[in-house]
Amino acid sequence: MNLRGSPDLSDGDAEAPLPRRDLPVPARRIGVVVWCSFLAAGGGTMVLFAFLDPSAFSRGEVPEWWMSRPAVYALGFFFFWLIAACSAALAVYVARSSDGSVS
Amino acid sequence: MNTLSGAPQPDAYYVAEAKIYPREVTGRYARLRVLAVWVLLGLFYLTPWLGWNGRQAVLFDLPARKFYVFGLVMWPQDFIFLTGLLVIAAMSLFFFTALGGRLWCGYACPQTVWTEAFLWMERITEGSRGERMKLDRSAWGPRKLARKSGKQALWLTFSLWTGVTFVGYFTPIGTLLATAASLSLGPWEIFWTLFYGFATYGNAGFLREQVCKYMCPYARFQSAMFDKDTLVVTYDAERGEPRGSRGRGADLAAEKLGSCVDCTLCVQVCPTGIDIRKGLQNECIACAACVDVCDTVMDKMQYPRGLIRYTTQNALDHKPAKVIRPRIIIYATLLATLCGAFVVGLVRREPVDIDVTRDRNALYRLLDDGHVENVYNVKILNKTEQPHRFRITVKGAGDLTLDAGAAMVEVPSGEVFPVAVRVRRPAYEPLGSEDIVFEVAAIDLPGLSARTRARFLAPAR
Repeated sequence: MNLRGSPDLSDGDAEAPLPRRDLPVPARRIGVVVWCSFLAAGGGTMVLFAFLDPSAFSRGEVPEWWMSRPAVYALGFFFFWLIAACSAALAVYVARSSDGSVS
Repeated sequence: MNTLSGAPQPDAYYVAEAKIYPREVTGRYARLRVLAVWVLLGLFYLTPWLGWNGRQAVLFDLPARKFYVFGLVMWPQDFIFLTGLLVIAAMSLFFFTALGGRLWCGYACPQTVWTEAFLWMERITEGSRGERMKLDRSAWGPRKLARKSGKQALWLTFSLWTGVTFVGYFTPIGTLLATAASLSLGPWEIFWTLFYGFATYGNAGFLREQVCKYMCPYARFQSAMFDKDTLVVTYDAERGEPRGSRGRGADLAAEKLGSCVDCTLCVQVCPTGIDIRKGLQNECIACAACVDVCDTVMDKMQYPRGLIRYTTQNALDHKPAKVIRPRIIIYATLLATLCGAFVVGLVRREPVDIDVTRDRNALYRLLDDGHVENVYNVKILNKTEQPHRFRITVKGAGDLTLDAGAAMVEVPSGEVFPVAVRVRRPAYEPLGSEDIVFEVAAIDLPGLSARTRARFLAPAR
């Protein structure tokens, strides 16, 4: 880069502006699905377990692992995440194939 | 282009893998961001180490279903406060976005803050922007291997420590490290440490600006909070154009040039790789790196600063700028109301709770001595950190008495104590059912009390 007598501002060899690095479209869509469903699952888990104490059921007929609250919280979160991700993936797929404008 | 048309999409699916190498920048806004990074990361990493009355000051004890925040102990029953806090956070985001644009993105978003920290580690191991580009182009050798593995080692350690700190908000961090040292961590602690560490590494080391561009919901809806008086980072095209290189001290009027020397440094520093001179773009996170770097160029050229600056659309159009406008007033009012309600609610929050349900087996029982009796299940929740002795009393229109055995109960700290209570009164004074009030009050701590209503059933004739 040559600035004709102006102060040297370049890195010497940095040929700017650079072409942009972007995720390929499928990866972007996966990112959107994973991240948005993560947010939804976080909210859902908080609300559910604020009102429902897993150990309240532990005297009934529940499996052994239900006794540990952290395990139930974590499994609840991943269950929510899975469901929300399915919904988000379906929404992205349908929106994309119906008008073709989602890219 | 319609994706179902079968037409080839050479650009959409296979994008040239050209990496963004953000150039390091110094200046006013860069210093502000470094300050924000220190303060925010400092808060995150140090908070779990604070103590309070012999316990961790901030601890979200999920197994015990209790949240400790300094002197406060929050229970699942206090869920409304968490909701309130989230609503306040959202409203603050709206308010500050309307006022100052994407201040959140540029200085406070975890994505920005951790990316900044990761970029710093990249810089101390791989060198400046030019050195990084040269290194990536060069063949693999001992030097490249050393620099690259040095960077990865720093990144991984930092990510892992971030994961440990995160889990330290849920498991006392001292215990966590002690169990980690003796290699006896529980499976969930290991899992969440790695999960959060991996998320940090992936987001700040690898995805970076892609998160802002393609995954962030806020980036998509923030424009709804914008108007022509919102602060945005803008290139002053009127002053800058026509751009072009020139000699020092050149006569701009004679050469028909604007202030922009077309050095492209504003593009080189941009973490999202955009050219701000093309106007306001969705990808711009308002980090103001281009403002800083352009100011240094303007200084060197002895031009006035601010060719790229924080300004508003109205100011650029030579219209009067307004700070106080309807949306600001609305957001500010809502925010102030919510904050006020939150504080009042927190101050007025009773550290003891009483819950009364009628025994469902019988409506009422007529006794031989002319009294009528109702049975209630009373639950007392002691939210304080000490055990207390509580007296239960009941008030109503009639002469109500409690059975002596239930009138006095000891409730341990942080427990729900259930007790069956029989309440009786003369059957026909007054006639029929009435609303009564249960009150629970600590004997050993005046002022610690709670009350609730219940229905007392009695024959109507």
